[in-house]
Amino acid sequence: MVDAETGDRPPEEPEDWTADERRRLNALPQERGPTPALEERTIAALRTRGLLAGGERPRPQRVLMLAMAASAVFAAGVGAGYLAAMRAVAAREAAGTATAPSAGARSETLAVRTSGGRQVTWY
Amino acid sequence: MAVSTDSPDDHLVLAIRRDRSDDAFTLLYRRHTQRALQTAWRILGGLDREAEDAVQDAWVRAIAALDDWRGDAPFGAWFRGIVAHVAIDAVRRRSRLSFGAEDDADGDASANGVAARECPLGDRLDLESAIASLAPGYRTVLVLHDIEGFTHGEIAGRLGITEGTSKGQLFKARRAVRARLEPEPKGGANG
Repeated sequence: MVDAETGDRPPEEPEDWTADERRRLNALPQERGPTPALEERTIAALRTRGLLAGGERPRPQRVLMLAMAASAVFAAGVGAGYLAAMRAVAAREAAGTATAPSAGARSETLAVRTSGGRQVTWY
Repeated sequence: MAVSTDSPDDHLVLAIRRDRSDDAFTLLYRRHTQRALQTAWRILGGLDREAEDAVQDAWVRAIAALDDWRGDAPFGAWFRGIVAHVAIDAVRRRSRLSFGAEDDADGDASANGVAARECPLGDRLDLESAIASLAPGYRTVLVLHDIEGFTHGEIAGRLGITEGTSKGQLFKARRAVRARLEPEPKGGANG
């Protein structure tokens, strides 16, 4: 059925393209390059909405580097503590050789050694 | 979850859903944005800034609704459907367009007050310009059907019109494009 006023063909059967028109249609570009800013603002919009993690989640390489740094700090702490302890022991030994034990302390020690069962309680 | 340029779309989608991975999204974005931008650009009649806005909005909607993508259709086609939807909304906002009620005789965009590119009738146009110069309703149906491959049923669903209206719009859109591509009659407009 043809529209009496306009002469249009019925819309149920849209007039198709010719082969040449179809070729031209298919030759239209399929892609269009976005501006570089589009990627940045899209990612920013997604982060703002919490749809991307952004800086919240550290990457594996970063985690590894942080773990290595923490290990280095720990090892340095252990080393420093060991050196400090060595120095303290050396100082105590040096102080011990400089002053001899008193006569009382020596007799007390001797009494403990000979009696065997004596206990000393310190308060 | 490690992703690379070789990762298929479903792996990237999984990484985004599970880890909100920036890297996965960047790969997905770079894989599908150019095609989607062309779709938006055509529906919007060649407006660059509006097309990019539509694509950005579409990415936000798509990532928020990733659970809706079941993987039974290619991700790119699913995403372009969202892009088309966003672009159609933008056209509607700009022109307060009713897709089923365009009654301009030749499908000229100027009849709807839409800022399509300048395409004076009578000039010979290339096909892209001819499509851009169509009224928004005609242009949208033609782009979705003849370029993007949507069926009339799908177009009707997206535009809120009947399939018959979609077919009618397509018929008029094709006729209007042909009229714009025809050689100028001898003697010109003054003859």
